[in-house]
Amino acid sequence: MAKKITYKIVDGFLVIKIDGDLDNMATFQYKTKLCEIIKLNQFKQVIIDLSNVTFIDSSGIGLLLGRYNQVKQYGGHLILCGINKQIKKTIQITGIASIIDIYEDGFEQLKKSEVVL
Amino acid sequence: MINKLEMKISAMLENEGVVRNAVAAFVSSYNPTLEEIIDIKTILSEAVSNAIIHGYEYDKNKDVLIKATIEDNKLELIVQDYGKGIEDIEEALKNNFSTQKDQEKTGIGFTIMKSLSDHFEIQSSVNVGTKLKITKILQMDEVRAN
Repeated sequence: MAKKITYKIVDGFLVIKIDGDLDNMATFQYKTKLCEIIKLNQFKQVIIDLSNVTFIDSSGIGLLLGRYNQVKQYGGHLILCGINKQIKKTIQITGIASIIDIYEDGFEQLKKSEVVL
Repeated sequence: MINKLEMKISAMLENEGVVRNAVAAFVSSYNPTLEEIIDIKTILSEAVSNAIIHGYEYDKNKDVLIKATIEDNKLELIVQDYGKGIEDIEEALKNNFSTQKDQEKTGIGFTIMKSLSDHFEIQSSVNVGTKLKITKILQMDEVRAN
């Protein structure tokens, strides 16, 4: 899957979607863009949808943790969604699930369920 | 029977994915589960990036050695650099993720490698280098195992 970041604003939520592997190379390429998207919009609710992320390592976890801190700094709330089994395993090992809200469903499913949104 | 794969890569982050995919392809003929493949790729990603980032501090002129050996259902991975080494292995093994502003180095690479492997060993000397030895037991198809 090609590496890319897209974002849209849906009902007041900033929804960022990441595709491809979240490894050191991708993290290096994505960091500035992600920072800018979040800084420019400063939405209270930021959702990062990882439904199309095929691989994540500690650098990807660091990138997500960094965005959590960035959003938290201006009083916002960051949610990670679209977490598959493998990504969930890595997230659980690192312990960041204890500070960041994570959901298995992607944004579209979350929106339908209205549990979180 | 023992099957081996050896690689030497330049210490460039671009090569991390090459190593992951090459070893995954090497192991795939032994019918590992998808979860095992992802575990192996994650372990390698952490080990190789550790060598490039911490061992060599991004010096692209240096080499990282990777060896994968399979015997029966035991996969052994060795990732070795000849970089600056680890001064305090115990400290390096601590999970140091931070929620501080601007802090994105999670310091959890070793934690991930340990958690996903059946045996994890670090040999390191300052200014000599670091050798990571990782064992992963695969749940192989019995037909292939025999």
